[in-house]
Amino acid sequence: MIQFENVTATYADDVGIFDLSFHIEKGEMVFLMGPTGAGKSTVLRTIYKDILLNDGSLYIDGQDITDMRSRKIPYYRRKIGMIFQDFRLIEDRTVFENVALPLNILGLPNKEIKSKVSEILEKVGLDSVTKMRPSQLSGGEQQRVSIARALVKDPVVILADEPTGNLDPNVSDEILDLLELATNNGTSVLMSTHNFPLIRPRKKRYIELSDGRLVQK
Amino acid sequence: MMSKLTFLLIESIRALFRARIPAIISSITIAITLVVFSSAYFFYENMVGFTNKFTAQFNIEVFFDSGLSESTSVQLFNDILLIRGIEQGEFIDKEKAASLFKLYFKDDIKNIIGNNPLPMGGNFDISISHRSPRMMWKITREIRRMNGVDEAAFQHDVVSRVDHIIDNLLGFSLVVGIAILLISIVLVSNTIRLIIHSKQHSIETLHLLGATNSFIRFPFIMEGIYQGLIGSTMALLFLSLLYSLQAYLIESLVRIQLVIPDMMIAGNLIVGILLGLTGSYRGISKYLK
Repeated sequence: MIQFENVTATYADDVGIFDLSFHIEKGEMVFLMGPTGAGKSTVLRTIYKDILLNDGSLYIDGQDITDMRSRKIPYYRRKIGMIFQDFRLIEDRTVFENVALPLNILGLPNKEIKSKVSEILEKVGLDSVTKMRPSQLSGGEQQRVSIARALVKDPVVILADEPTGNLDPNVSDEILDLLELATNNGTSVLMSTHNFPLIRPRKKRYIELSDGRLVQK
Repeated sequence: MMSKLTFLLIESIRALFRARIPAIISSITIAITLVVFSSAYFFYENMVGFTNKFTAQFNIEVFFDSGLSESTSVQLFNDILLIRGIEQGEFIDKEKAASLFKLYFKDDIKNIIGNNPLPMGGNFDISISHRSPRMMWKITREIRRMNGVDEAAFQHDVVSRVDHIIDNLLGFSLVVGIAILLISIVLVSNTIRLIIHSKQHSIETLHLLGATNSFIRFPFIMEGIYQGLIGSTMALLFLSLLYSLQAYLIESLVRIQLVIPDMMIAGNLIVGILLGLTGSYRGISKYLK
């Protein structure tokens, strides 16, 4: 589902990721480990085409996205669910509207949007707060909204950038449960974290980075 | 496609209500701009109207040779009316010339010298486009060259002075008007840009969710148009109040009938919408590169 072949992607100050090669199967959940500055976020950013590759090849769902034209990027991103540490919810919209947004972008009919959003909000346990604004929710609830927003469009890949970074351990476990649940539908999940004690009990494969290079996969 | 368009239209209206205070600030900026610009335009149009009325008094006086018969004089008068720049004319026959003499000198010429030696002639009004000293000289020279014309003249000093004053005033109004328009565009687009800047986080999120630039741009453009409409409505309400006030104060004091230019209402709406549209387009483009 995700395949990195000798990928190098650097920023102006010559930091980034260097000569990375790994792959992730369909429906697999993999953790991206490493200290701050190891290049975890850069790996995710190369997948959602926020930065360009200097070298190597990158395949997502069988599609070569290495030299994708910029006008095609929005359509490509619609296949990917993204979850961030700071949730990235839109403050002036309700929970329902935030979750419905990817479907509005896809141009689905209203009826289908209502049914899909209600279903996913029930799945993540937020069906009682649909009309609330993100600021009225706890951190854990906000992250669940963010997960619902990523899941609602049935993505082929979910990228989660430190999704538990701001949450306490119990809530973090609940978030991991939800992400693991997504893999049952064949969605691959790549999650970056530096919290090894959190992921250890899950017995999942992890890729370890240091200074932008692969340490263990 | 239709559901996306419906969503975007509803979204743009909702966005206006969600961000009420920025929308009000933006609409007020547009309204202030329109009030200032409309006032300048109102002043300009009325000044042009006033100067046209004043310069309508500019005319060329023509005296024919004293030996010309009345029918030849009428023929000559008609020939002069055909000259480019002549708007209309009044034929002065011997009787009319004698009555004008009496009007100025308070005595009948026949009583003074026994007969009426005054020549026939005409007073010719000049069309608006030819009411300048240069054009009037040109017409006067052309009339003087005609057979049977003894003298043709106009009040050169007065025309020159008035023309100079009008030129200066119109030039000043034009410069002020252009300056106001340029300042307005910058002011409105910067206000809208500041408002859009506060939504930068939402724009980034929309990009990450796979929204195209046109999907992101559309509600902002529509919001700009709504703000332009609200701003121009506010401006028109304020201008109508201002007009009532000036009609009460100025027209009663100086007895000048001021007129509202025909294009005032449509112009305000169009300029308001264009300002909102341009401002939001410029503002959003910065974040969609």
